[in-house]
Amino acid sequence: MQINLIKLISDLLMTFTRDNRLIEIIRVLISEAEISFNYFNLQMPDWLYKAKANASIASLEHHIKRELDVDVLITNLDGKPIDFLVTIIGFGDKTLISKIIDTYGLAGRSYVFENGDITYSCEFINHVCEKQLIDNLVTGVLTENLITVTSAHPVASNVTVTISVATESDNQILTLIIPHDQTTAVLTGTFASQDIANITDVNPNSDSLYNYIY
Amino acid sequence: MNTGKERSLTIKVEKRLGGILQPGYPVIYQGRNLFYWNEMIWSAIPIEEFPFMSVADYNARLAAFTAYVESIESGLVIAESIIDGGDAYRDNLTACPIS
Repeated sequence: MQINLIKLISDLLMTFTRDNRLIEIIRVLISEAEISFNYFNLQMPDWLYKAKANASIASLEHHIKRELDVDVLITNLDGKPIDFLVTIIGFGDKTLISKIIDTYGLAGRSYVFENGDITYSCEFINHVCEKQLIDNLVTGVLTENLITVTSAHPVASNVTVTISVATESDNQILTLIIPHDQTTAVLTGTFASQDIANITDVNPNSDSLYNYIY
Repeated sequence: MNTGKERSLTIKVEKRLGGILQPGYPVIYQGRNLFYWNEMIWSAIPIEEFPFMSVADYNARLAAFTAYVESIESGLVIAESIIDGGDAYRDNLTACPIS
């Protein structure tokens, strides 16, 4: 309970006596009492706690902690309307705790459980933008002495395109590189228009934008 | 290409007793790291691959990661404890404009 003693006393004085000099004199006279009163207010909750605790309660709290690793606080309520309040701090099995309490201490006396006020809050952090690869179609055309490879979008890094060319006499594996930001690569050679060329692989150097299809 | 959404697999958990933050908290769990849940190993995901995970794969990993964290933090139910604006997967056209 917080009381402003000076204000209380000045309010209790008769109106015609309430001058500043008298109030200052009273302030000096009650200064020690005010310190004691404030100390009393500070210590009161602790005194009440200690007055209600006893060795058996402290021992039981310790025993429950030792056996079940659960922190409990047993408060003596003096039968108003029950004898004890058992506050579980954290998470604990009430059946097991009851068993210990009944075995060691409070058998025959009434008690109720109260869960300690544990709350969780959480949030996801460090989000990143979801990204989707874009299809980038790579096609090739073989004409006499020339192979041209084209991508639908300018590539996002150097892209190596591997081509298998089947001629009348043999089978050649060739590679072309579509330069970064370009769409076309050209390779000259000795090809005939009847030769068959197939793109066998498209390998970007470091490209996280496109999904290359061919 | 951005899809206009953002995603996370990093969760910050705070535990309070009587309104007082408990020692050791907040705890941050990183769901991109390897973890073991439900008899399955969820291997680590490189940071550069995470934005490109398919939505189905991401949702599956998020569900497993959520259950994994809840199994560690006894009593935590992420869906009930998440603060406003702290969702894992959400629209954000400002930070991630579709382009």
